[in-house]
Amino acid sequence: MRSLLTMLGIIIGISSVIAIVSIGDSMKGVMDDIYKDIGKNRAYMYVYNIEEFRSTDFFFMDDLEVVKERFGDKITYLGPSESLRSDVSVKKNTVKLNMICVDSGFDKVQHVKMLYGRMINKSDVDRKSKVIVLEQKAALQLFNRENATGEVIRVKINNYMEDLLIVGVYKNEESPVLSLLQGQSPYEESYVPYTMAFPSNYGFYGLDIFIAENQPVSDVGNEIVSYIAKLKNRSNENYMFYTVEEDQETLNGIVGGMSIAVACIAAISLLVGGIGIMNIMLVSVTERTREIGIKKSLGARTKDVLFQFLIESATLSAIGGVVGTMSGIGLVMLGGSIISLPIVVNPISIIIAVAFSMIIGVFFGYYPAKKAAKADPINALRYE
Amino acid sequence: MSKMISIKNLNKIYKNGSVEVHALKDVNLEIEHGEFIAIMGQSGSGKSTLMNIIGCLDRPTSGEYLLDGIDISKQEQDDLSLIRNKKIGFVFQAFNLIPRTNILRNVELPMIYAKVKSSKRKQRSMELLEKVGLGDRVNHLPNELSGGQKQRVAIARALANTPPIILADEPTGNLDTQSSEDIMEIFKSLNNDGTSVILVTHEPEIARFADRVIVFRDGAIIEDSQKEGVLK
Ligand SMILES: Nc1ncnc2c1ncn2[C@@H]1O[C@H](COP(=O)(O)OP(=O)(O)OP(=O)(O)O)[C@@H](O)[C@H]1O
Ligand SMILES: [Mg+2]
Repeated sequence: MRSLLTMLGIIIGISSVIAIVSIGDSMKGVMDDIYKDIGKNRAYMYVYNIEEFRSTDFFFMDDLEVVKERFGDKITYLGPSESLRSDVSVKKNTVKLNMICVDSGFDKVQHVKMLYGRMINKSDVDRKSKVIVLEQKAALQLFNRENATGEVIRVKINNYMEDLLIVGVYKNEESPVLSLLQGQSPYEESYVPYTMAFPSNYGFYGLDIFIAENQPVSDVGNEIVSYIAKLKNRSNENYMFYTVEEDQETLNGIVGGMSIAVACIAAISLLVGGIGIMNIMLVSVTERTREIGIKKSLGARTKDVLFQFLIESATLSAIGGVVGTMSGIGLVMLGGSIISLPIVVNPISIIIAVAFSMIIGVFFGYYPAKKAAKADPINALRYE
Repeated sequence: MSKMISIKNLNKIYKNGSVEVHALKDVNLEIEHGEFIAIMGQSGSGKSTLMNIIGCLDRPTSGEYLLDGIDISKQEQDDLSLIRNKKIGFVFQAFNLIPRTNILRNVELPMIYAKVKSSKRKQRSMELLEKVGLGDRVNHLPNELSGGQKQRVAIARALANTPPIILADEPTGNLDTQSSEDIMEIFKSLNNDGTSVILVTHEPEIARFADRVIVFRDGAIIEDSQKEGVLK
């Protein structure tokens, strides 16, 4: 019981270390997943920091073509960052639909898992075809079946009702964590050709850009900004280029900072745990003074007694380490299952945690053990 | 052949703050291999003090103590541990078994410090415990035994490394007559096999087993007689 209390410090320390490390690892894993979903080399560009807008400041369809032409291989996709919302009804079923306005080739840079039919293609964009690609949940809710290709739905686009032909159904495969972060959206997803959704003289506020894999994302971004600013007779500051990569670095930085803060707390509790070990070992050495005397009378040398007590304190804190590791993993697993975060537990961190707690035991056990080992045999034997 | 124990002008003064106790005063004593000695004397006369010095547990304040020709006052603590381990077996009035440790393990301890191999250790411990009549109790803990049984374990443990000397400070002090008798029989047979036995006792019936009786008073030897001398 007393040893359990002693080990508590170590247990708390080690379990928080384990928890932090695996939360950190898990978060990183999840974040990687999320950014893979969003697209690692994806960037957004938008009009920024302009006091008096001129109509020419925005991005026109012609501008998109010019930029595509100019940057050729450096970018793999360029489209407006736009989506429209509309209620859709088929018989008694109504669905709130979010229509993402895309250029052709979006499915080349983003994974779109088609279940039926096809994705928006170049001819749809060129001909401004009145077509739509539905997410399977929308299809299911509207038609009570997934394969809704060939059906027509009526949606509101820019205040006009339009009849769109469903040419494909896809399945959204984004990570559960991302959906969790975004919250329960009442809207179902879909894709439409952007040329159909907006008039040809429409000025877009933002652009959705994918940079080629082998290109430095921010360099290309700066080039595009300069090019567009020049085109629009504006300065570079008037356009903002924002990459998912930067975003990820910031987030990783925040997670890292948090880890350091909690690691400090863990270090303190390990220190407290170590002092607890030292304390109980000192008590134990005093209580067993007579035993030490007897052992010395039987021929125990200084190092025999030293090792005996060092092994004891190392064992004590190693047990604390093992219990701490298990409760740490348990805690993280529990927390992970509540927010459905996939948990990563690095086996190396377990080994390090247990080894580290043993080192704490040896370190803080050394002074009491030394004290025991130096005991004078006759005084130790006389101890009551 | 040199004497086993040679003590010259030995003094022991305990200092407790300003109070000084002169526990041994100019003690001279020689002991041969194979002797069976009983040390007697009033309480506080210095018997235990001498035993502790002979057993290399304590150091004299002044004077010379040679054990098998080795000057004990010149030895380091760890060297004294080695000497105790190899040459001396202790039997105390309070038994001094290690608590919460079974008696087999207790008997093994001196052999562990002597780095005897585990299998040999076990075998010898078993033999010793059988010899003292506790062969069927090897897995018992000390607190599960009677006083006489505990003392027999202590003797078995004292014999583990076959030391030439057994030091017993009032070994029968806590035992009834029958148990005392049994213990003394064990000492007698050990002595017959060549082991030197030095024991402290208050009881003449116990001292009767010895061949030589040394009597202390106020830290000095007042009588030292071979058998039949002191016994009335
Ligand atoms: N550690 C100590 N510190 C101070 N004085 C001590 C210490 N040990 C013994 N003495 C004193 O030294 C004297 C001799 O003690 P010792 O224990 O040798 O007596 P003893 O002959 O064994 O007595 P007993 O028959 O009661 O065991 C006593 O006066 C005792 O009070
Ligand atoms: Mg005494």
